[in-house]
Amino acid sequence: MTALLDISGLKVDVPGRAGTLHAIRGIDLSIGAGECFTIVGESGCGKSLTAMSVLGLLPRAAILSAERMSWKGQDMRRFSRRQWANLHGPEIAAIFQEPMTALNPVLTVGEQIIESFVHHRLGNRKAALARAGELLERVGVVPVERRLAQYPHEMSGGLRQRVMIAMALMCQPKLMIADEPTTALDVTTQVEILKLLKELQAEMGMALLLITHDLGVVAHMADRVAVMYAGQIVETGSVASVLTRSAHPYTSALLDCLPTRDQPLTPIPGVVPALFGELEGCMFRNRCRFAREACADPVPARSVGEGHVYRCLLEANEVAA
Amino acid sequence: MAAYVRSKVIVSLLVLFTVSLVGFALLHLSGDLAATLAGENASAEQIAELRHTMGLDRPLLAQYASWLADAARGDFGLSFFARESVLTMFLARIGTTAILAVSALILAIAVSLPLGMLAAVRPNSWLDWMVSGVALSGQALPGFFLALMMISFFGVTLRWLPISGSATPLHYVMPVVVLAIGAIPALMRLTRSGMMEVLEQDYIRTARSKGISSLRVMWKHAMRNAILPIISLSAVQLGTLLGGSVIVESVFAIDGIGLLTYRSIQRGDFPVVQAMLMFVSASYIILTLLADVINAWLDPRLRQKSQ
Repeated sequence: MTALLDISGLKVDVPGRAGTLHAIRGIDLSIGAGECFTIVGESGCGKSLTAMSVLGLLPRAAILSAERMSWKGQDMRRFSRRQWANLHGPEIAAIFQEPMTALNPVLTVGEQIIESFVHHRLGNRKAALARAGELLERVGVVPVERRLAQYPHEMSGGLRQRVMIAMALMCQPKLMIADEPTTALDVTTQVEILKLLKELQAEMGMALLLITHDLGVVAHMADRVAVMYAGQIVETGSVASVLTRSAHPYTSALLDCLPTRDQPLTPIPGVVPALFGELEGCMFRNRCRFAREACADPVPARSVGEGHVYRCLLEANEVAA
Repeated sequence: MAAYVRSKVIVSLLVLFTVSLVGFALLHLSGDLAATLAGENASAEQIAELRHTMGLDRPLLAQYASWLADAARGDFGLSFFARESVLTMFLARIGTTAILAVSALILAIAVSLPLGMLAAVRPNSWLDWMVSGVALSGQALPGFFLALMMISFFGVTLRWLPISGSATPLHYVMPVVVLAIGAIPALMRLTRSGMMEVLEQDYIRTARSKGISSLRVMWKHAMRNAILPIISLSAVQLGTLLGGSVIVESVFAIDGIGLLTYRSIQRGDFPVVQAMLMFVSASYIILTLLADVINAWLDPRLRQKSQ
């Protein structure tokens, strides 16, 4: 199976007054048709920037470089403005973290939903409205007629996120990018939205790139996962393998952060390092209880089999012990 | 919406009433109108008699009440000097000033919006620097200087444009340009800063992720949000322009509201000054009201708040 999205050696630098911020420092990523891939990590680890890189919507100041970055075999690094525009909607669509601010306050929900469909010439306004109606019905934004005429401020956060989902689905994308889609919502709404995303993914046969900081979400949703720390993927593989046989101390520490009923949660000591200047070795070493001197040298990637890869000097079974 | 407009209108009328009262009082306390009217060689008796015939010796409130009663019926009295109805004098000039004001504002908006938008899309580009430069020099350049330079260049050297009067449309070109240049800096800077703020918003990123054209993102998604403060500013600027520009009207010898007001103040022509004061405040009030209504129509959130 050829991957929809195939990226290797992705780097994003953001030059600034305090020096250049190396926000993403060489990550590999590939997403196959119909699969659910999650990127998990703390704030500032570069997971959202990774999503924006794939969308071609990085901030103007950011500089992207990659050894390979392709969509269905086409080189995305050479995409013209027009090619990006053709990609957005029918190929890749996105929903974002803040449903409260992600919709335009002065346009009706209906106008915003149909825009992409009409612009990509998939049909006229009437056809667009019909499809918007079906999708809103499907995601549970009813009664459709009234909702289409409403403005975003007349809806709750959960409803707005459902509107965002319907909007993203309008052109039947092959890949949906969801950047922390439930972080800003209350817990019960979170569960509903995630469930909906999972169902829609199966129904539409699309791939889902889900960005989250919540390993619980990963366990529920994903086929494969990449754990990001300080602009690098420290561990990746199938969800079953990574979560049950985590080989990297950071993954294992994240798992310890999950609240359970009978055990107190264990926070990770220390803070995320600033990503300026020359960065060598494992960035987690100053927070890691297994750290040793050699961790300051470049750390090779090691395989545990079936695509499960991690970057650490420890043997695969040492962390769990 | 109707309730919103109604409450605004009531407040507006109160403001207008206050302005008329304060204006009336200040004008009467600012000097002895009878002495001014009688002239330098008049005797004390002549001044006293004039004061009595003009009714200027009555209590201030009584004078105000009769002025208000007349004004409410559209009668603003006679000019002390021209011996003409104030309304007639006003109507003879408002057309000229209104053409100048409206054309200047349209020109200013036509220049400011696209340039401000472009500057916002490419901050710190050469275009942005040019826009900032134009805004700065527009603000720094005095209107009279600009007017004189234009007259000497386009009027005298090139002989392209007539330099005084308001007889043909060509006569309006230079005064309109001078007035527009005065209004452009504020409009352009507000467009630039407003657009830059809006372009940072999440919903712009959403719009971009939909693959629609960047022109549509700019116009439909960004401008619809950024235009709200621009409408309010334009209303205020039109108010100022309708009050007439003494400088532009004097330099180009245009007989408009600005010049009339200026001369009347100089001569102590109280009925004219009071009427002009009412006109200027009424235009400000009506224009701001209009701007509020347009904004409420464009922004559903304002509409809801007002209900």
